[in-house]
Amino acid sequence: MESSSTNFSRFFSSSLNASSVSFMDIKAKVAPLLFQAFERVPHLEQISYIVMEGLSFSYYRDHLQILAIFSNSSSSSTLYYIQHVNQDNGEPYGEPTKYNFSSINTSWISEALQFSYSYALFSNASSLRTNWSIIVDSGHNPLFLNSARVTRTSVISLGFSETTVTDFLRAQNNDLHQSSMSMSWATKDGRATVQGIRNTRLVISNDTVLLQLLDQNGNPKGVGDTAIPCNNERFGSSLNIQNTEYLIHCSTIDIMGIESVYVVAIRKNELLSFDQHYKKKGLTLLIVMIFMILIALLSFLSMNGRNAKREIRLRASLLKQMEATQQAERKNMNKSLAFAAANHDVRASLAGLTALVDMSFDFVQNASELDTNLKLMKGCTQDLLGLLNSILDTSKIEAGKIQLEEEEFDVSILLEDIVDLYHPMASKKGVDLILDPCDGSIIRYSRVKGDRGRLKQVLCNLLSNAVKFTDEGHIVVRARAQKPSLHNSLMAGNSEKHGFMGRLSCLCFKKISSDEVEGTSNSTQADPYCVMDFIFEVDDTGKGIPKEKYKSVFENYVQVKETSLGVGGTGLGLGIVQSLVRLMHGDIEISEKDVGEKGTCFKFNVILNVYERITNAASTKEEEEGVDERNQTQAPLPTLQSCSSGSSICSLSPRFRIRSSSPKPEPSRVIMLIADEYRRKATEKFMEGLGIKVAAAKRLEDLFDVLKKMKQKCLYSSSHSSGSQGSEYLSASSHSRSSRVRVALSSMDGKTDIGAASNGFILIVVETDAGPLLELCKIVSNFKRGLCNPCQVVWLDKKILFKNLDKDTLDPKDMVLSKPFHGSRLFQVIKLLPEFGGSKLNTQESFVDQSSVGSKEIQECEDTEKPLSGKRILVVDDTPLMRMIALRSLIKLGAIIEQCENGEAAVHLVGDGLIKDFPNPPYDYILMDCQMPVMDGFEATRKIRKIEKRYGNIRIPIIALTADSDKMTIDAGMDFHLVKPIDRNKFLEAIRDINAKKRSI
Amino acid sequence: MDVLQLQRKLREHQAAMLREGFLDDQFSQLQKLQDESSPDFVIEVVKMFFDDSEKLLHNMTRALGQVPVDFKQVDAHVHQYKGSSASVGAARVKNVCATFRNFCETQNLEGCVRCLQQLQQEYSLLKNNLQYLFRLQEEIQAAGGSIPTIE
Repeated sequence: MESSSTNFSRFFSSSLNASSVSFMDIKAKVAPLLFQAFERVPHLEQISYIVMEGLSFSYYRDHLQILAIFSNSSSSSTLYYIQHVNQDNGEPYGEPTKYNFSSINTSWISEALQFSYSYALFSNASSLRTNWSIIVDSGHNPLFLNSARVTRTSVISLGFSETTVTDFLRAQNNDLHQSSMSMSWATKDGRATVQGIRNTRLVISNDTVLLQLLDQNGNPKGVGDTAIPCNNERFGSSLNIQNTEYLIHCSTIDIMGIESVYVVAIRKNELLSFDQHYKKKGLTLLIVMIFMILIALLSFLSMNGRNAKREIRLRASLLKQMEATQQAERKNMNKSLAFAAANHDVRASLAGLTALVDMSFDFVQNASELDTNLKLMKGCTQDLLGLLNSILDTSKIEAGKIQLEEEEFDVSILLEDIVDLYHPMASKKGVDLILDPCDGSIIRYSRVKGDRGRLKQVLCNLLSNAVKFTDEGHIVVRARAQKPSLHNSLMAGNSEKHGFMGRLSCLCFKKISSDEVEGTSNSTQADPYCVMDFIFEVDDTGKGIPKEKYKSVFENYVQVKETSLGVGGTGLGLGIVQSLVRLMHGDIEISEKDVGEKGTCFKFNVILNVYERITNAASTKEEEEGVDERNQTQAPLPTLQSCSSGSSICSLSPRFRIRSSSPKPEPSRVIMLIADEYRRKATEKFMEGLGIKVAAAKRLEDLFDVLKKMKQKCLYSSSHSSGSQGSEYLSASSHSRSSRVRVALSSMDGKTDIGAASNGFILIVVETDAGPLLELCKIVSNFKRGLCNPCQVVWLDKKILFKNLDKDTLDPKDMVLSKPFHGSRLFQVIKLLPEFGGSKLNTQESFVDQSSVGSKEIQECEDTEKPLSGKRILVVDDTPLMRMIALRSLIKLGAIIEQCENGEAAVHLVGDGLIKDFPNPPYDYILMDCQMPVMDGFEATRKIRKIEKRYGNIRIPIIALTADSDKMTIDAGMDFHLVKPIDRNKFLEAIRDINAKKRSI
Repeated sequence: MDVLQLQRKLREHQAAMLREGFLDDQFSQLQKLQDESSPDFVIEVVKMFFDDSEKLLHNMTRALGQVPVDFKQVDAHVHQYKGSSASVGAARVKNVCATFRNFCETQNLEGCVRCLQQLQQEYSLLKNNLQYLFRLQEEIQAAGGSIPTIE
């Protein structure tokens, strides 16, 4: 309010700058401004503009009417007019009523003028009221007047009704009541009061504030008036009003420059309760907060604890794990160490074995059975050593450190050796082990460079598996060589590295790189080497492997449970095999068999450098051209490709060197009787591939028919001229251009009739166990009789049955093979044919297998070394020492020994033997000690003689063996008497003596 | 030690044993009987001989300790021992056995006891010598050499 008056004054002073103004000026200029202000300012009751000279103009509100009061003279007796005002524009209208009021206290005006800025005065309301009330109705409230100087002589004053202030305060008080507070207010002079506090009255007298207590009727009690110090203290005093404790607070307040006092009373208990209420609330809040903090803390702690616990647990387990890992590592290391140590030991003992075997060679005659056994033993030890190495190399393979050893070797011989090695084992199980040469390409490219040991290991492993798991049927080993296919050549060629890296991961990175270096060096320097892909198949008719296990069997330590049950093994084999095969740039797989076929077929290929002799190079080249041409023109049976011509047979093997000077003779015929179907077919195919006419029989009866037919044919053909035979041959081998040329050449020479005259060579190959031997012999000899063709019989005998084969029944010219009919034996037989180097002369000679030659030699040796060969001798002695010496001595002489430890036992043996072996004597000689427990030698001799009498013409020579010369021996019926110790020469002498006596009798 | 040196030593030792009459030709015969089919023949035989000797010597001692002495039984043992020793070629043992039998026939107890002592002595000597011989052989074999045959 104060500010508004000063603001007005400033405004007016700016608009009225004249020093002296007339009433007209005021009316024209000031009045509208005043009206505007009057309209705008809220709560404004009155506004006036007063000039010192007596001029004034003011508006005021009387009820809802706005009136203007003005005086237009500056004389001392000022006249005032009241005029109604237009509510809208403030223009006075109507007749102004002259109103003369005697005195207007102008002192406040002058006072106001004297203040520089603002001056507020609470005018004498009563007088004013009286003054105004005359004009207006009574009951007009006092006004707060606020004046401000406009110019030096003029003042503007604003009047606000007192009620607006008190109303405001009351409204405030009402608000306060709600919060159990009450307030009283009074101006300093006590003119205006608001009595807010119940049952009290605020009285201000002599600058002291009194709070008068009132009774129920509002009359002052007169007692308990309290003076309240008004010093704006923070803490009020307490007062009891009508038995209620109040807190009283008093402070001064300035409203529009009028000093006033207000007193605030607060009911104490209310306050307290309020206080307590809030305290309680605060406390609960605090407690809740503390509680929550506590909970948070606890949960935090518990979580922390749990975490810590978990961490501890984890650490513990980590420690445990670490310990376990360390232990495992330690164990592994120990194992490796033990392995290494064992390796060393095993190697040492193996070395010992080999050395011993070597030493033993010195004591053995060449080609004796012992010698061959020793050789086998040596081979075995070497294999064992190799195997040991390879097993120990398993880890090496995995680490990619294994190295292939490059050496030159003959792959066909290797194959044959391996197959021969496993053949006895297989045949013991009743399984035939067959080496199928396929197209013969393996023989042609037999000279190779590679790791012989590893290849052997792979084959041995597969074969031993096959033998292990096959109980019936046959096992076939097929081998062929071919030019590396695109896939393989990729591997073998320059880009091999990538192809290989993928397949082998990084197993043999080192090796590959070294290989590559080698390979490149090879390609630059060496023509004789070319890379060939060798494909091997080991096909058995065993239990087979479930299809879903095809992949996993190649993993280490994996065995097919159902089939490996009770067979043993570590399951390492195939893993090693796979690693090795891959190392040799090949791969291994189990090829699928047709439905209904039993068994498993392992197929693997390796890439080896083939070494072809330069002498053969030309022929092979020619041969290859021939092959190419044939492929283009007629594409005959693929199996015949490489062997259909003579030159290719030449290159098959040095053993097949054809006598090129000789003319082409009548084609040979081969008749075979082989029981096993696969072997028969494979052999047949191979021979046919070589251009040989083959007739195969399965059973004895078949053989008979085949021979019959053959005989008729032969007789027929021999009666015909050579021309037909030539054409026959032509048709038989018309696949080959070169052979055709050769035939043409030979016919031009005019020498064909020489071949024709000798007719076709006939080779009969018969398995001895295909039927009763005698019958076989009869059939064969019948066939041979009356046949002018040269004929050769080859008997295939299984070694086990060899002893049963009585040589007398066979033609001495016949050949006996005691080993499986494949590989070198097969070639040996084929070589008998004239086309392949067998001459007529040769056919006349007796062919004897090497082993039989050996046995013959042995026989011869026996004449000097083993005079007692085959003789059965019974040694009777009580001391083991003596028996042992006698045994040894006699075995050395070739005798078969039986022994017993006293006379009684000897008598029993002789008695039983006689029953069994009669009419042959059970023993050829009896060597009898004299002094023995239970029954001595003399007694025993007598009893034996007694038994012999029952069988008539039998008398086993009994040689007495004593420590002393004893004459009793002859009396007892002994034939000779030897003094201990037994001596070889003396013994032989005794026998000779006895034999002489026998003869003389 | 060198193999050759060992072999020489073996030969010398064996020759000495033959010379001193510990062994006779029969032992060489036995060695000839040994071949690859029975590589340990000699050792086995000698081992048996050792076992027999110990058993028989023990039996003889017991028989001679009996009162009265059964000379027939003693003689039987000696006879057996003679046969055994003759078989392995232990010449000196055999000779002692022959003397022993004479004493048995004459029933000379004193002579018998003396002979028994002599036998024991001879036996232990022979045993030591033979064991040394076999040890040499073993060493040669371990060194990779072959055992020289005695002509």
